[in-house]
Amino acid sequence: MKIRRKSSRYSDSVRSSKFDYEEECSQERRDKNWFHTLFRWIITINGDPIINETNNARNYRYLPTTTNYIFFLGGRFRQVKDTQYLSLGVLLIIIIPMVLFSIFETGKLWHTEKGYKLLVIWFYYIWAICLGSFIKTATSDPGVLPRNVHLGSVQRNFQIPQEYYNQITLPTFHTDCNIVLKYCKTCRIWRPPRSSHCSICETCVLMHDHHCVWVNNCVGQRNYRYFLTFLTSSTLTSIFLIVNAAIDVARTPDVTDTPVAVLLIVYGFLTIWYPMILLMYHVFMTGTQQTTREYLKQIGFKNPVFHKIKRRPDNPFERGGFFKNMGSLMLQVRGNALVSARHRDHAGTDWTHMDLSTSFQMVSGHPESNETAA
Amino acid sequence: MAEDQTMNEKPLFFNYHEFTERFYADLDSPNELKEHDEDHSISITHFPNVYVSRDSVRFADTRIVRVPRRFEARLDAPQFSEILPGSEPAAYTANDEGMNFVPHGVFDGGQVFGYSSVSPLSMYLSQEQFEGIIKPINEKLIKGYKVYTWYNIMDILFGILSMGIWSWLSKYIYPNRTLIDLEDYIKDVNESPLLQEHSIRIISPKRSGYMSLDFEIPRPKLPTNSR
Repeated sequence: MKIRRKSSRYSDSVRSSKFDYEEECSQERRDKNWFHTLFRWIITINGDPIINETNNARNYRYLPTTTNYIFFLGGRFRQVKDTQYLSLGVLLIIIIPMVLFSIFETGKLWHTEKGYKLLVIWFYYIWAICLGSFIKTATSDPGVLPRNVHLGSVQRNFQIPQEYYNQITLPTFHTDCNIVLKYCKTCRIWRPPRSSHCSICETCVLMHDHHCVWVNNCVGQRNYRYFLTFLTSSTLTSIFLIVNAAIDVARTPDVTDTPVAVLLIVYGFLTIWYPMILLMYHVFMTGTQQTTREYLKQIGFKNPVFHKIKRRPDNPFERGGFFKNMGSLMLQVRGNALVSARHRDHAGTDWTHMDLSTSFQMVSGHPESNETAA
Repeated sequence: MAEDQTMNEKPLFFNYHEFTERFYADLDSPNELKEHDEDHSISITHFPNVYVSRDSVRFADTRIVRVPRRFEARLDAPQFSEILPGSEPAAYTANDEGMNFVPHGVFDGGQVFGYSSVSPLSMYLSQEQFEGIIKPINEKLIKGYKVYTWYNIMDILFGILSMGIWSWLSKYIYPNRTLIDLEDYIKDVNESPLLQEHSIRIISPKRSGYMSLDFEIPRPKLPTNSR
């Protein structure tokens, strides 16, 4: 209607027919829509606020309204917005040595004896695993839990019942270990054990290990294996880098002729420590059946450098052996994506994409209590 | 009663989804909310259907009974309670009502609730029937979350060796059957005459994030003689 009125006004001054103008407008709108859709497919920063059954798009279109995720290429990759984007720096740290190595070292090492060829191939393969696992850790679903599944009631603006403010203690098969459950007031769910709400991602994550600023994503049940692969492969990449560059230095009579090889050795020694130490931490934490979050909580969120990694006495998840514990955590099943960015399953209903965290909450009288109700 | 158990060392299991409400309307005057004493508080045992759109007919006509997770059997896989809501060790009971859902109050926009922890699901399923439905679900979940299976180890190895590409391809080449089996089983149960005749259905636990097993039931009606 608006267009038609506008076009009749135009028809006096401009000698083009109403029909032509309308056609042009809708064409322009179509182009704009087409461009808009493509842009939204490439990068989705803000979610669609209007959700109804006819607008049954994939979940990545709605998820940014309730979480802090941004999606790329139709929800295939994700990152967390409004952060320092340290992951881009890490990506550069991974790519730079490979580029330098390819330009200055590969040719020299390739045209020598066979053994070095194998070393070069290994370097590239491990590097590719390192990059691949980094991308998977940083951009895949850590185990996002659906929102608003456990609403108490609809009336009084989705008021949270008083009982939901309690921590719930439930029995396990161990006589002296219990499970403590908490209700997430933001996501409105009874969080499964070991899950936690990440305030940076603004979502609850299954088997939440920690939010890693270096990959700009949470590490949870669904990307923990990629995270461990990343730590291992980046350590190995540094080793292969040092070995290959050292061979070049050893084969060159004058060190000053191979400055890049020396630089790469230094680079390798600088980049090996952080992932290696972190990997050691994860070996000992999983061996004592703890996630990073549980370990930091146990030591009171102090600097972990000065703390020994000890078993928790009341840990119901304890498997009774270092390697049994390690296997159960390191090899844990990824499971289904519960809120898959690519699926359309939640888009038909408006509940899972609704942000109720700002709605009415009990103001006084019912603070988060530490009472246990059995 | 739930409170009594805090005295004991070992906590007792109960349905942590349910809560009590003292400020509700009586059945004979469903629009008048008023305060009741502790002995007459109602237990909220069914919840809004968050799996359908808010403006849909289905939302108005159905409610959700949530079967909670239970941790006594094992912790390495999600397990749901195998006892009918209302018969848990620390459930609220009402004298003479047994396992019957008896409405006593109106709350949450015209919904009816009883005094005890017994949910309206008891109107449709017996303990044996309920257990018969839940047990296979729990067994499939145990299988699906087992760490040392050929599938999981292969999945991890292929994931590493393929530089992460495997996770995109696996669903086309060799998907994990165990959790798909669970979805198929739930579809079968939903099509069974037992659930069909009462128009109840199980919501796939994939949609509830394996956090609870949700039964969609017809909205319990206000007893006609109370009006």
